Amino acid sequence: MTTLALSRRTLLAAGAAAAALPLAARAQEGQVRIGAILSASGGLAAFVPPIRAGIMLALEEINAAGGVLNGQRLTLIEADDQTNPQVGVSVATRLVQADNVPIIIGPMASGILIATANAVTIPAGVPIISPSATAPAISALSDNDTVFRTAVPDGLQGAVLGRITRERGIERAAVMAINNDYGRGLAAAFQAAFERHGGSVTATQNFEENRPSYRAELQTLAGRGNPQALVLVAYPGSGGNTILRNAVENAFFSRFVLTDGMRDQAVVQAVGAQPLAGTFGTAPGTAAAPERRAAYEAAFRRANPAMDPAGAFVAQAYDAAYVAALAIQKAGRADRAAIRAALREVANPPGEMVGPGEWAKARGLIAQGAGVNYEGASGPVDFNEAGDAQGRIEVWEIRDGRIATVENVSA
Amino acid sequence: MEQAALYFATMLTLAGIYAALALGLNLQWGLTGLMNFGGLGFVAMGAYTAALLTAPASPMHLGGFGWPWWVAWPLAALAGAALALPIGAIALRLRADYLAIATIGIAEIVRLAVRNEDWLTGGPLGVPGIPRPFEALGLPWGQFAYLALVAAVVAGLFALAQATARSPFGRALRAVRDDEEAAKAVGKNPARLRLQAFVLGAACMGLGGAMLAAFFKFMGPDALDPVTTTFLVWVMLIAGGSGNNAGAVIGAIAVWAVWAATDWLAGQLPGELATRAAYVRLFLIGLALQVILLTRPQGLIGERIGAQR
Repeated sequence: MTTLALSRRTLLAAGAAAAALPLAARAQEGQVRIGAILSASGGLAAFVPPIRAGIMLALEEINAAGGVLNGQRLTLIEADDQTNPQVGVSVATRLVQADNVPIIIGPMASGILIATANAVTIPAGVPIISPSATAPAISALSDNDTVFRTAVPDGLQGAVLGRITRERGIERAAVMAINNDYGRGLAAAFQAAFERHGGSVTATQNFEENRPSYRAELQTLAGRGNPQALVLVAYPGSGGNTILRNAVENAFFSRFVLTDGMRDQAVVQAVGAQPLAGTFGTAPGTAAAPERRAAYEAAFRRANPAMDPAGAFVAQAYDAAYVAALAIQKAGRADRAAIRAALREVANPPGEMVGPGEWAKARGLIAQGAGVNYEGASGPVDFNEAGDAQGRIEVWEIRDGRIATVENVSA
Repeated sequence: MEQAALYFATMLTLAGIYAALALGLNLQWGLTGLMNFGGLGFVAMGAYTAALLTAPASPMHLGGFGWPWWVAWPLAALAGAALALPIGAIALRLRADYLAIATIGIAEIVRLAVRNEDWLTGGPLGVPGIPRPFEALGLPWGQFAYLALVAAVVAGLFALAQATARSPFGRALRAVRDDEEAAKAVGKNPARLRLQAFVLGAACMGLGGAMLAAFFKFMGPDALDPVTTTFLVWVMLIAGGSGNNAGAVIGAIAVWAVWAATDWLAGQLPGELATRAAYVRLFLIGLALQVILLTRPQGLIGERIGAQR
């Protein structure tokens, strides 16, 4: 009985604390709420902390420089989709219908973005900006112009990867891709470009995540058509590292071509610098002007010394939050349709260029009725008709055990 | 106010869809004692059948026939049953935990087939653009009308399940569950009864899958997650009270309400805590199940056999 009484008391206390929290949050009047759907648990959870930090950095900078509209603070209402479309739809419903947010950043995964957009945000007319959904299919959504992304679609990355792989003297390549929309889409785009430039794909394997070993798949790939390199589209934690280790240990492959998912220093640590020497790859690039990029990186490091501002989709997340805030400012009110209409106006030319950390300047320009054109940390962030940012692709290499940017190219 | 009503309607719709799944599972486990851990497979059959029949034509997957939902949904239930029939005929010879393992395996086979047979299912890209009944009414009435449709389907399933539980057929199922030898001794055919219960339950799950696909307007392999499709339904049935149809429905609504409420609470937490709350939430739901199992093993409403006369 004592334990029961204790647990009841604890429950009451917890309940009271939980009830007090929303009150405390609601008590601050004069705030504009932005929704965010991130995969804080589940398969993509490892990517979330820096992406979240990128969004928070933008909001904090804006709040420190006077906030939006008439000095109102931006606050982030977060939701976790557990890397699952069902959960994504249900939390998006909460953001749109219970929290009544005017704009949402996320979701991160393409499949979840398509599901939530179709089921929730398109019917409700809520604009969403994904920092990291890269599937080509998103461009084709009939979305009443409500779905945007600061990530560059995979088609572009695959085209660049195919070209540079051929340019680096590889004629025959085997492809191993994670079996989801990301892996399949990118592998297909790579193959098309690689073959257009005279290369040939000897064999392709789509692999399932989180297997203890990939020797069988690798053996099949290595045994067909004498490939010179392995093109691997994967994430480090859910199979990528294991595949590289298996390939190196059994000497199936000695050259590797990687993509954005594997652009992670932890991969070099896990597999070793020696076997990965000469490995190269692509990632959504930093088409940003160097000074804009530098401003963002310095601010990010100040706020988060332990995290990497060049991490996957972090700059894109920062830019997504920034254009969302600019659109709210331009719209003059936190209204869904007005924000949606303002997004292209603040992100695309014409207009005076504003960049990371220049909120006060942008605010002033908008107040005067002048046009602004946001040039972000990840690129120029110009949305095309499909709502996709037109970016560049980074080419990177592993040199002396470190990931180094070689160049940023357009397709 | 309208927004709050819409949110409530959405949550109730999802709870209703889960109630249909829980009713199917109750027929299999609650009434007949078949440990089916492969709900995912039957939900997937129903969801993809309805998706391919109702979606507009597309070169990315088979068909897209643009049929109306009232044709496609019964066929989805039929598809669930059609998958269950051969599986049941073979696997139902296995008892309890062996059947559980076999059904998990079958669900995984279905999930991997869906992911890899691009010509049929669109592979990892899934089937987009599935129409939702009544969406032409716009917001908010389209949402309310869909809720009404789901509620009507669940009410129909509930009435059928109640009639089944009270019928001689239902009593025979219980007899097979509780003492197979005794049932045999009075001339019942346990293998046949088990197969019938398995197929009927799978039809319920197929119909639930069809409602799920139409609600999301999208169906892809990532949407078929064993945790949210198979095991959450088990949690609902056990929490509500297995063997009792009302328990299955109430369990579905109660567990979904807890699920939604914890999401909302987590969203109110400031900053960094909101990210961590995601894990605490999963932990708390597991803890709640443990507490229910320890303190009320029969569920919120247990099985009441005597009262059903």
